[in-house]
Amino acid sequence: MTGTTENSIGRTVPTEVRGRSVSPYAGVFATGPAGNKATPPLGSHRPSDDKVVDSIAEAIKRVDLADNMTVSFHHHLRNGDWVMNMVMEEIEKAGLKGMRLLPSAIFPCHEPMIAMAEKGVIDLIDGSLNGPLGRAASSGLFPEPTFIRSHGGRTRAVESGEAHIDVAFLAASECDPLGNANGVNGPSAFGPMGFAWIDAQYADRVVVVTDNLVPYPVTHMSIPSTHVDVVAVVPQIGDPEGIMSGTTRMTRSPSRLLIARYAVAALADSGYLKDGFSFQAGAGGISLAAVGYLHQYMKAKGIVGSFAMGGITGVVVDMLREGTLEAILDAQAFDLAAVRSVSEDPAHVEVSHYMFGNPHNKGCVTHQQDACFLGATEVDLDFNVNVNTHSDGLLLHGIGGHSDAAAGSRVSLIVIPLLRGRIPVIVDDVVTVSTPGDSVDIVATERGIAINPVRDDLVDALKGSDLPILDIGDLRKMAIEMGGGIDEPELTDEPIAYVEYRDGTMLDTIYRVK
Amino acid sequence: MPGIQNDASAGSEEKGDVSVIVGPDDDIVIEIECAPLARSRVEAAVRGIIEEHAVGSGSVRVVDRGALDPIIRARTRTALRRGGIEC
Repeated sequence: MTGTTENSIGRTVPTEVRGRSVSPYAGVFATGPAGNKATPPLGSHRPSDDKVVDSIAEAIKRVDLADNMTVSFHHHLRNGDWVMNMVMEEIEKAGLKGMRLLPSAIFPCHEPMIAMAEKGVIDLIDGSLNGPLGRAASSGLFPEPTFIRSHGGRTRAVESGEAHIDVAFLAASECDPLGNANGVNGPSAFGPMGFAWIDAQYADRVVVVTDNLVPYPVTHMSIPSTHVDVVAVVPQIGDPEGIMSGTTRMTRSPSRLLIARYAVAALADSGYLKDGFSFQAGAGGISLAAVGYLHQYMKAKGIVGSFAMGGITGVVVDMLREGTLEAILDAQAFDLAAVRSVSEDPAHVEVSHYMFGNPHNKGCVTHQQDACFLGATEVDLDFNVNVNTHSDGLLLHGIGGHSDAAAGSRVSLIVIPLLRGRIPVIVDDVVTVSTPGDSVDIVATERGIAINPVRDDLVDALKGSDLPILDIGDLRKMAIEMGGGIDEPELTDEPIAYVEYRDGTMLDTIYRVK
Repeated sequence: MPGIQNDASAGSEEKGDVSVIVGPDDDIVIEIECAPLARSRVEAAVRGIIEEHAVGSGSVRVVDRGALDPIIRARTRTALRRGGIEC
């Protein structure tokens, strides 16, 4: 690090990254936008021009891809994505080096990127690093620290020009020869293309990669032809079954179901659960269970909610179809029931992640939400939440929309077990701050619920509740008594990643593990 | 001091459990596979039971999948008893 400072939550962060001055995190809405939007080059298309090529290799030639350029990908196919690996294989065959990647997220299926980084084909990956890539980054795979951004924060970085994309490679399950594309139709349908929208808007060049070329015009235009340079046709873009990765299955554990029950009960007692209620749920098993209980509760009480923001699952689709919700705003599908619903249910509306959670546009969805149910690997006594690293310091997860949802929602609920195995989830200080405690309101565990004392309105509202409401310090003590505690992680002082808050300020530093 | 007489085991490698496998050896040999941050506490729980029963020799292999201390102690005690130690 060239220089460091301490931000408003006491974390040491850089003052400059890659030659650019950066500001320390100062509060949830303390830092506004500055400057203008990035400006991608003008394009043109004549009636005789043909955008369609029959291979990714040809597409790479058409867009003049060169060494050290930045390429981007979306992760709507999650662990079933084949496009990133196919494109990077062709980039390697073309002899290109020093590529920078700006994926919306990386999954275990992208493990071949490790070997490409070791060979110099890849220089750096800025994006949510899940699984093997994150583990490798924790051991110092990349020559300099990467940026970890939330979904909303990534769109802000691209629009502001802080994260420039030379060429976006966007998987689509249906596309016409001019480049109008979507993810809702075709044999490899994966749902909305919320991540891809910002890449299509601001990348210098856009390649749609599809396995389903259909005659002009495709009428569901998630990505319009006006932004597309090349359409590359491949045999298959991926396996949609891979959308159901580990984080998108509802828990069956009785103690974790109890956490979900407590969270919904706390919300009901807080007074927010009434007609017009809106919410977002994360992809964790307890969050998904909370949605199930929410549905039951609203149905029993005759409550009709306004909207749910997604990541969407079949459970949320059931709410729409059974009348406990009026609309779904959806930027990504978490299961195949949600994928089908986009084209079957008129009130299931596709939106982008720019609309979902960018704090520096003129109206994002998360700022309209009443509540959100979110997971965590750790929560500390200041309510700071870690979703990126485990207790041992290994970077194994992305932020997702966690900090966007927590900042915007009127009540943000963290649903976590007190212990994972013997490892306490409530700790004195989190290893990494992914979402600052000043945007976290309630922590629900199977042993009790803690309310952030800064939310005195919630403290008052839940005073007469039958729920086991405790101080977060008491939950911490309980976790230590049950689990016995663990040793401190062994970290170096060498940064491997920076957690950038959604407003572009520096929230925390992730260090290499010894 | 008594030694472990025969091969025996207790517990499982299921999440939240611990597998303890014991067998005869010339000395006390303890091998532990667990989350690195939990090693000192898992070892303390296992050694506590070995010392409590004054075991003088034998091998003890522990594969921990996040078990709490009472479970580690119970599984270790059971494995030792099955291995011929009076517990």
